[in-house]
Amino acid sequence: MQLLAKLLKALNSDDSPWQLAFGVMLGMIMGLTPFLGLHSVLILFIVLFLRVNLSTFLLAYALFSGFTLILNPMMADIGESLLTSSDLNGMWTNLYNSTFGQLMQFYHTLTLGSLLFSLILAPFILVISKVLIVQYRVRFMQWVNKLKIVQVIKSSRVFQLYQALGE
Amino acid sequence: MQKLIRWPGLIAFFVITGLIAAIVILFLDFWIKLAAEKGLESSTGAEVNIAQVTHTFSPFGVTLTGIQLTDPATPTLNQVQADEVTAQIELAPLLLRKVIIDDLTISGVQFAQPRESEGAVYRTASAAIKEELQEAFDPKNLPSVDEILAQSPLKTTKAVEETQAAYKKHSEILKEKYQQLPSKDALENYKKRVETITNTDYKNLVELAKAKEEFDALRAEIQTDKRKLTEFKEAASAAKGDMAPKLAKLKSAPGEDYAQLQALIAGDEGAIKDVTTMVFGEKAGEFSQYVLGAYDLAAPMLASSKAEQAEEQAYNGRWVAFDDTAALPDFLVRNADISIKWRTESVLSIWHDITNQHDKIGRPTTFKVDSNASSLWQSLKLNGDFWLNDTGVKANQDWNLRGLALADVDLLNQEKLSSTLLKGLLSSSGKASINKNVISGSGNAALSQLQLTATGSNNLTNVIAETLTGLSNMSINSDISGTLGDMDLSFSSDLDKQLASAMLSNLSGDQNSKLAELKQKLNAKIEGPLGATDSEMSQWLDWEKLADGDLSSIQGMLDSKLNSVVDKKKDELKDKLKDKLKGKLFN
Repeated sequence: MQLLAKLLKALNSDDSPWQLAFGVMLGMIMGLTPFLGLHSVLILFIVLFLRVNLSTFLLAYALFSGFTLILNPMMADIGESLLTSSDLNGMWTNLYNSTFGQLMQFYHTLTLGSLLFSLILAPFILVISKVLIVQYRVRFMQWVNKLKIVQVIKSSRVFQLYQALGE
Repeated sequence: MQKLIRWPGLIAFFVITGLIAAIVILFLDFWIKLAAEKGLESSTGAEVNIAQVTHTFSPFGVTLTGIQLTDPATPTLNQVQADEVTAQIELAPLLLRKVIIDDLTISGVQFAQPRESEGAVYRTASAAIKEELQEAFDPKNLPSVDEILAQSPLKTTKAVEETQAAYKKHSEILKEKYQQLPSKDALENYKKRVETITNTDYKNLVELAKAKEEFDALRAEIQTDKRKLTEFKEAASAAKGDMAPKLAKLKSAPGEDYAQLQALIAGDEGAIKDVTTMVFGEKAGEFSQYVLGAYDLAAPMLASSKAEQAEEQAYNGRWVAFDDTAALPDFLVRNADISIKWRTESVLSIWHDITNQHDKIGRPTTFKVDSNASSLWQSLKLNGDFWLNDTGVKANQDWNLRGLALADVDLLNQEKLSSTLLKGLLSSSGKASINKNVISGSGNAALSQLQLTATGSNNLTNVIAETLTGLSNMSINSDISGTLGDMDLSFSSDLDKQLASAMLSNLSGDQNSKLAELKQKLNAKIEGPLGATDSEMSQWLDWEKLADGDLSSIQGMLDSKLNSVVDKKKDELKDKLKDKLKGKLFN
């Protein structure tokens, strides 16, 4: 109910589709990668400092965190193959012996694999979410708002609270 | 631009990160305590307690108070405990996960101190002190003479076996060679044939040549028999040479066995042998923990070094280790002052370059103690170093302790025997080294001005107690062996011999009759083999004499007579030929 209220508020808000799409993209990266790490601080900074939609970020984070249950082994394999590649060994060794490398924790197979996987996925997620948001607003928003269930949600205290916070 | 930036968001970011930092700093002491306890527990395999942790930011330092490391072998004791540990840590290398401590001070270090409550043990300790020593003083169920003879590795049995084997070998060879020797008739025949050849008057050269041919054939026959006689003589000499010491050994073996086995009749041989270890071993072991304590520090460091090398496997990915090209090792203490508390005295040890990666810093960890006269000793000097790398530990250490005053030391407190050292002076020196984790070394502990008191509860322990009470000086030699983390210490002294002789002078009637039986049975063991071998040996000697006589008669017969006859005949024929030629030429 709470999640749905968040989503509805975000979709019906005046925020641009790009703001919402960036929220989804950054939430996806944050959700797929391990929480502890320098990349999480960087994403948090971008999300808070730039006008990225927080609701879509939080929703995407929750959604993609769930996907990790299935995707983790595959992403860890990607990291494993990259870190054990003899061609890249020199680069990894240099990075390993630098403060930045240690803070990044790149030498953890899942951290590197998931970060790389989510970064490759990021532009596609960004564009697809932007298109879907625009299409929703043009084609479905009015129809959805007329749905009984949506009216119930909109009249709920939670939605009212979100609405008030948003203003 | 303003549309892009959310200034309140920036504030929120700093608030969130600041909050996280505040929580970390607020509970920093707790995290350090938790990390230190868990880290040390994984190294030692037993409970570790740290009473309090405090920290400072400038310079960054940590102070740990009330540290106790449970002894996994005896959980009621602390393997090591310390009052306070203060470390000044360099912050920048921490970002590279390197702990570099400029100054470390450890005060109030004590070994083997009792704990308030028994500590938890997570890993089974290595073999504890042998429990069977506790039972060694019980003289009941002494074995019978037959059991002793059956169970003991006797010199008599070994000597009988060796003598019989040697006799069998030589006897076969000599018999075979004796059979091949020429008979008396054959020798007589040679004599007659030689006489016939030498006494014949040869008329011409043809006859002489024929005689020479016959003589050469005879000479070859005699030479063959001479070789057989020589071979026999050599075999007889070899047999005599081999058998003589074996027979001497056989004759003396029962006496030696008797001397060794009488201790078994008198009491428990094992108990007598182990009295030095039993009475002094525990305290000597404790003392060794002080002088060899550096290796106790080195062992967990090596273990943690190996543990770090193992790649961590986890469901959610794993950490991959790359070559550490940084000049700094993962852990380094540049200077450390470690103060060890013993009774009322505190011994300061000075350490440099404590690490587990000596290959990186290119020098070993060094430590030394140089303590002059104190209320407890005259001088204590200890020097050592160690170098850890992938192949293990390489270390050296020597110590020299002079005039350590001992007073009221409980040496042994058991039901059957108890002993206390009332007063004494201990001096000790020694060396120990480690190469690829294998420890070797030796030490000597000289106890002087001894005043011991001991109480026994049966014949055996009463004798031990009396001997101990009479001691005024003694020297204990110790051998250090084993591997790092599982050190073996063994002790020996002349006390064992003193005890064995004291035991033998306190034998009961039953024990004396057992001793007589033992002597008789040991002698009976060699009677048969010794008698048979002696008679055979006499026969060999007779044969050898005969062969000697035959050999000299053959040699004399051949060498002197035959050669001179041939030469004489040659000369006669030459003269005749000359006369004939002269007649033809001048007539």
